[in-house]
Amino acid sequence: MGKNFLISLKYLVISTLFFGFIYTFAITGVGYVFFKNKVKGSLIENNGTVIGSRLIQQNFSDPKFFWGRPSASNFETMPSGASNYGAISKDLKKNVDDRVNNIKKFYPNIKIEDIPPELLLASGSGLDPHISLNTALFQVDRIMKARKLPKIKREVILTLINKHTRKIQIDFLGEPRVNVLGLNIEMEKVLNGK
Amino acid sequence: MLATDILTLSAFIVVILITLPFLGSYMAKVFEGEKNILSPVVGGLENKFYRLCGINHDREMNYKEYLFALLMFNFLGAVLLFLILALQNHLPFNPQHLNGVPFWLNFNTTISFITNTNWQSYSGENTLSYFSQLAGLCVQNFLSAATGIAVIVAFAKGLRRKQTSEIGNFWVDLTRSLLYILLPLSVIMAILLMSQGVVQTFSNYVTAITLEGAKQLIPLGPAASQIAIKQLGSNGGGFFGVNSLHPFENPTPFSNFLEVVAILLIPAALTYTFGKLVGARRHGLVLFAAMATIFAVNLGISLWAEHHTNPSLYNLPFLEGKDTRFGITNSVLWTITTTSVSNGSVNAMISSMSPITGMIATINLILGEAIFGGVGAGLYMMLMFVILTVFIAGLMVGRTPEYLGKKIEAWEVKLAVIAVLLPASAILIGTMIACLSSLGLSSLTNHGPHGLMEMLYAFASASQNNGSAFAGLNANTNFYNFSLGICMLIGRYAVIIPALLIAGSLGGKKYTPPSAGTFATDNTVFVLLLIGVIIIIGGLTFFPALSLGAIAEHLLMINKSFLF
Repeated sequence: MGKNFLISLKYLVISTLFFGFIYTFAITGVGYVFFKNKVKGSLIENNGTVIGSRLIQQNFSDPKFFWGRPSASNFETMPSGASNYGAISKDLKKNVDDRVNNIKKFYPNIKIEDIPPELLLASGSGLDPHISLNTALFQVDRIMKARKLPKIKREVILTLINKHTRKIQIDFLGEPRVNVLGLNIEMEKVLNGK
Repeated sequence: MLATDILTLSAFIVVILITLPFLGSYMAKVFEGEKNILSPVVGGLENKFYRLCGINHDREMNYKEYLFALLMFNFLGAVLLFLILALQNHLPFNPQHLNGVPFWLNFNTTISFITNTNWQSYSGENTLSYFSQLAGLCVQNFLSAATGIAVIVAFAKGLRRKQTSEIGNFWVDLTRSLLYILLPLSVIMAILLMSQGVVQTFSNYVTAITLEGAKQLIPLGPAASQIAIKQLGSNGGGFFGVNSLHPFENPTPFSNFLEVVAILLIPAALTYTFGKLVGARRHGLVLFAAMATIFAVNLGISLWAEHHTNPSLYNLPFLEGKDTRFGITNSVLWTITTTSVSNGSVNAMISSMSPITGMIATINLILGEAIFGGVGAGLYMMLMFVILTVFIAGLMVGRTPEYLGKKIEAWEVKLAVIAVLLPASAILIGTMIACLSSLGLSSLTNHGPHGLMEMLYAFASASQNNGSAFAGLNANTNFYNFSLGICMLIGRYAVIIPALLIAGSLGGKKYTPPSAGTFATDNTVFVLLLIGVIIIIGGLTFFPALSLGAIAEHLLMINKSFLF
């Protein structure tokens, strides 16, 4: 009994030092040497101020930006979250109806089956940084209108979408996906910056 | 389903099947104390551990000593973890100046991480300091996983040995699991995860000014190192609140693939290790075949259900609660894997999945995660089912129940029944109490049949030490923190204690060589019997609850008749 107590105690101290500190610090060291930007949160800076992380979605409600997936926690990060509504939830249906109505402001005659489902259903993380290619293309008309762009600029936006699309990884993992923040930042630069 | 979906599923199966014999025989070597590829690197460290802790690694323990060492170690680990969490505001590495964890939440979290459940009624980013994460939770991620592996090793030794109650040395099994298996795999995993964008830093949370001019606080932390062991060690407790849905915890399809493979890697290979340790590789294969069959059926049904649309919601696909970078197939694969194995991490919100997928996930939990189980934790559950199967089959054909040459008698059967029924009772009784009290009901997000599933899932997840959540339930209340904490204790120790008692009892028995009268336990018939027993026991116990929950929900959904 007493012997187990002593061994347990020593074992806990040593494993806390080893698996808590030494292991964590060693991994951190490797990360800082090889993947410095990534381990620090893939932050995007502009003139010294952080304007976001490539991996964390921001709230875009202005029609001139690409919108990401809706967030049940309204893009809160501390913590983020999902709706967790089940398949026959009244509240979920109400949320979807609200989102449909919001989209109808810009596309008055659209039918619900023509709206990309990603814009109607909230992501799981509440911070999903991506949308699919279709969901991005769907928004081009709205953005052109909001920015009062001439038709020839459409090509510019399509090129930007293409540039910010990540292809299927290692040829079989995931679907092509568009990084919404990256795309919006560059679109701002290209369309306003010159 | 698209071609990429099928490729992903195939790649998953191929990786598991290819690594299984290699990792399995490597682990067997480790536990037999034979020389292996890592001996030159890790051997010295192993001896240093023994020397510093005062462990006599040559000494064998009988099952009682083994059990006492394990319980003492777990108990003191709990005390230490509780203190770290309670006092985190006085400890270093707390850049966000978070307060100490309140008592009942701490009670729940401590039990959760000691028992390898890793149920979380908090979100890491706004509750735990970096110190608590690394010195408290990360350490217990390692230790609780190694404890689980040690039990299965002891069980195997009990089966193999003859007329002795000695089943190995707890400290040796623990240390070898840690240093030869969990640590090297975690290091590799952590580095691969960082390459994909998982964060690993001690700097403060960063405030960003967004494009639309709002302030956004971006949480950070030493996550990659902890996520690696969380996936490999059947732990499943997320660094961030939304677990492996958080883009910092699982940023790309490739990181997702790594993490889902990591869930099943060791548990699958342990069936092979078990076969080698008991000296009958076919028996390991039998266990694997039974597990893989149930797994494949469950995965198939869930994929079928999830790729339908929701008739009650404008025929939209089931994308609520899923992130775009994973999509439907990867989310289902993960959900079935994490509930079959007692991992409990999630990459999609199970609560928002189709009712059938939610039901399959729940069934996986209530079968005691016998299907693959956790790192150690499920394989010994599976062996409880094996003992029951041997017993029932023996009764049916009138033969002496035997397993691996050891007679299965009343004592072993009684213990196995305890191990199967106690957690099951905890699930049903807990759910019943929650249903009957306003304390239980006030935490629900959804009402109607889905609300019942939220509670059933929570008690199943805690009682079977899984730790995944149906997530609609607000579990951070004194009622749930306390009741789920008790369920986690029952789920862990009401299985570990009988398992070690059986190991001791079997070890003490004579070996009976197989004869014409022996009921074979290494053929297809036995695989089918075993599957039958698992389904009958699990099914009969829980069918009423499931029909009021998920089945009713599914019928309401396809009839578009009623919303809750």
